[in-house]
Order: sequence, then C-alpha cells, then structure tokens
Amino acid sequence: MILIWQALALYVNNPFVLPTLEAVLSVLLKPTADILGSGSLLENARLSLVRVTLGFLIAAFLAVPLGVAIGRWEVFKDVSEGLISSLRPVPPLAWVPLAMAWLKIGLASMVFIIALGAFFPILLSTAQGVRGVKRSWQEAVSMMGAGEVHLITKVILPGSAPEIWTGMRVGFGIAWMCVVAAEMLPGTSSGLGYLIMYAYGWGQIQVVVAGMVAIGILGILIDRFFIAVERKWFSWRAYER
Amino acid sequence: MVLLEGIRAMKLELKGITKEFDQGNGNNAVILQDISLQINEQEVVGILGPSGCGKTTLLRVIAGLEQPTHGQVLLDGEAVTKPSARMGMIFQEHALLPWRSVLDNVSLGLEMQEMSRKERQEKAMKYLELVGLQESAHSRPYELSGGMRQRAAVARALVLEPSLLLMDEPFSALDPQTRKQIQEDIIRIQETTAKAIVFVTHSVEEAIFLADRLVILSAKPGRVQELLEVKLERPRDRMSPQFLEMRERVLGLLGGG
Ligand SMILES: Nc1ncnc2c1ncn2[C@@H]1O[C@H](COP(=O)(O)OP(=O)(O)OP(=O)(O)O)[C@@H](O)[C@H]1O
Ligand SMILES: [Mg+2]
Repeated sequence: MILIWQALALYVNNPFVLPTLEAVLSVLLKPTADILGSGSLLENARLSLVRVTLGFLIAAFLAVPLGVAIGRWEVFKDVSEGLISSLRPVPPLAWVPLAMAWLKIGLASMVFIIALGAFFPILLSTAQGVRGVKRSWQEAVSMMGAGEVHLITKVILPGSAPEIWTGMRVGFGIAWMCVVAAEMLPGTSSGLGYLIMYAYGWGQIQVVVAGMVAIGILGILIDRFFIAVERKWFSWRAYER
Repeated sequence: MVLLEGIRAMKLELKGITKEFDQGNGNNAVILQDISLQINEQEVVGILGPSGCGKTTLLRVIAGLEQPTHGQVLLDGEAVTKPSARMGMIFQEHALLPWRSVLDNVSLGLEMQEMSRKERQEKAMKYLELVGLQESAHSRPYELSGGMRQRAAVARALVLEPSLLLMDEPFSALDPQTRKQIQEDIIRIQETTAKAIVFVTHSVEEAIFLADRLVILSAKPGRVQELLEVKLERPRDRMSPQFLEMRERVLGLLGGG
C-alpha cells in the first residue's frame, strides 16, 4: 500500500496532487514544529482530543442512565421510542446550522455535535444490554433481599457493562469523525480538522496527508484501548448467555 | 463446625394456593389448584410430580418471585409478597454472577447489608468451607465444574442464614457420582445449619434420600395428590429393602397418578 503510494507519487511528480512519502514523514516526524503559523501537529491533535473527550463524556453521562431507564422500565421505553427513532437517522453534522444558531461558533457547538454523534450508539446498546441481563441473575440477587437500587448497581449495570462498553467504543469512533468534520467548518481556528483544511488552502498537501494519517492513527489507538479494556474486564461475557 | 447461630423458629404455611397464568388468548390456565401445606422447622420436604405440573411455579410462589392468584404463603405468620433474604433459593442453573469471583458471589448478600469487607469475607469463607469450596474462592464461576458451581450456589444461599432453603432440581445436571456426593453434603449441611428445605426433583431416589416428607403433585391442574412421610433412619442406605420398597411405592404413585 505504502509502496504503491510512493511509486505513484514519484510517477505523478506533483506535490500539490500527491506528496511523496518523505514529505509526509517529515511532517509527521516533527510533531511539535509549527505549521504555517497555526500551531503544531501535536498541539492541534491535543485540542481535538480534548474536544472529543468532552463531547463523549457528556454523551455517556446522559446516555447510560437514560439507556438503563429505557431498558428497564416500559414507561420510558414507550415515551422515548418515537423520539429516538425520529432523531437517530439525522446525521450529527446535519445539526451544524442549528448548533451554530443556538450556541454560536466555538467549543460549545462543536461539543454539542460530538456528543450527539456519540449519544445514540451508547443509548441503544445500553438499553439492549439492560434488556439482555439474565432474569435468573436478578432473581438470585432479589432473593438476597435486594431492592431496585441494589438490583441496578449490583446486577443490571455490571451485567450490561460489556454492551455499554461496546456502545461507548462505537460512540467514540463516531465522535472522533464528528470532531474532525466539525473543525473543518468555517469559524474554527484549531484542531486536526482545521489544520488539514487550512493546509489545503495553502496547497500544503503533504500536511493534509500527514494530518489524515495522524487522525487515523489516533482513531486506531483509541479503538485499541477500548478493545484492550473489553478483553481485560469483560472476558466473562464469552462464557455466559 | 457448628453454624447454628442463625437459626430461628420457622413455620411455612401455604393456604389454598391457586396459580393461574394468562395464556395470552384471554384464557387462564390453572397451573396450581388449592394447595395447602405446612412445613415446619428443620423439615426437609421433597416435591415430586410429572413434568409441567407446576413444581417450579410452586417453589417460585413460596419464594415470593411469583404471586399466587388466590391463597397465601405465610412465613412465621407473615404473608410473603416479595422475595426476601429470609429464604434462600438455589436455582436449577446456578445463576452465579460471572463477573464476580466465587467469594464475591457468596458475600454479595452481606455486601448489600453493608457488612464490612473483612467481616463479610470471613463469613463467606466459612460457608465456602462448609461446601468444600475454599480452594476455589478466587475463581470465577465459569472456571468451576457444574458440581462446584452448585456448591457455590448453596454457599451463597446459606450465607444470609435463611430459615428456609428452596431448591429447584438443583442437581439434575450433574453426573450420578457428583450428585450422590452433593446429596450427602446437603444432609450434612442441613444437620449443621438446621435449615428447613423444600426441594423439587425428578429423581425419586434423591427425594427419598433427602426428605422427611414427600409431596406428590398431580398434573393439570397441579394439586396435592399424596403426602408421604419418609420414616427411614439416617444415614439412609439406598440399597436397603425399606428404601427400595419406598421407591417402588412412590414410582407407583407417580406412574398411576
Ligand atoms: N410465566 C409463565 N407464564 C405462563 N405460563 C407459565 C409461566 N410459568 C410457567 N407456566 C406454565 O405453567 C406450567 C407449569 O410449569 P412449571 O415450570 O411450574 O412446571 P414443572 O412442574 O416445574 O415442570 P418441569 O418438571 O418440567 O420442570 C407449564 O405448563 C408452563 O407452561
Ligand atoms: Mg421445573
């Protein structure tokens, strides 16, 4: 893949269309160097990560309790079903104009878009996980005299944790795409998404490609983290159900 | 080992228990009809009956996991309307929480009573010793054999010191050798902890080996067809003429029922 790229780049011989491997690497290997006065690769990556984490956490704090409620109590399910099925198909980025109208351009509207992207996957897999918690587990624990609070904290949450975690993994992936896209919108002045749009404007395609590679690598690393935690904590899942 | 500190006087009464299930087509199926029984302190009662006659349902009604359509379950004179720690239940399929170690499964009930970590681990360990599982305290349930899982479930039910233990075909999935061993352990445990036990089984031999009294249910609707006392000396010998005679008699009742 890399070889084909390099061969093609040499063949095209036009840095404005396809930069060579060396050009891209030289950007990637100096992550702290300032790029066209818009900050370093590392600095912009850090900003993107902060935004995505913020949006993701907000989404998780809202989606997990709501997902538990929907999965556990019929009332919530009936009320929320219509709302969810009508809102979910709208891509997070379609909310951009509304987000800008409500929250102005800046951190708040970006975080809103990111949170929206992460929200539904977490909500739906939490609800599904809660519904799938074995009845015999709940009954066994209620035979110990557990009330609803204990049932939720000792059975429902740990029992659906693997699904919640999977929802978070998917949600974070979507949030990561959303942050990059949101940073490309006019009015932003930092982040990896901004950096590649800005470099594109200056015809610095090697920076664009380096930025894309950085986005990809960070995305993969985060996903790996989610998978590693899943293997460590939720290995029981493979033996049950 | 003596674990008698938890015993209290206990009396379980079933008064005219009828249970109907909505079949979804507007009709109600009567599963249990007018079952009245009394179970005394330290008594071991076995429930037998054809498949589908409502044995599990009866046990769940006693446990408070299911509400009777008519009638009442009284534990020490108080109506049972929801599950409580005064009864311990051992499910056919162990129902241990796979994300917790065996020890943490057993101590969960104590954890919810806000007992300190040290205290509850000590107590849980004591009951794991009673069922011979101290070595596996830190294993996960899925790392254990079927027999060990059921032992863990027994320890978990006992740790809260209920006055009554309910068991729904607890050993039916075990091989005959393990099953015999665990039956003998149950007798030993019953003697050291002085629990009353109500259990469901398909094995007439198991029922006679364990029980002081047998309840034979008839099918559709489930009613008490026969109440029998098992007046055999303990320890019981499965090969003794009296045992075999009793077995023939119960098999006859079940077959002809
Ligand atoms: N929640 C329920 N809703 C509707 N019908 C039920 C429900 N639970 C049990 N039944 C019905 O009640 C009847 C008795 O079931 P139960 O499980 O108590 O029988 P059982 O005697 O334990 O049978 P087995 O020996 O096969 O375990 C069955 O016909 C079953 O279909
Ligand atoms: Mg049954």
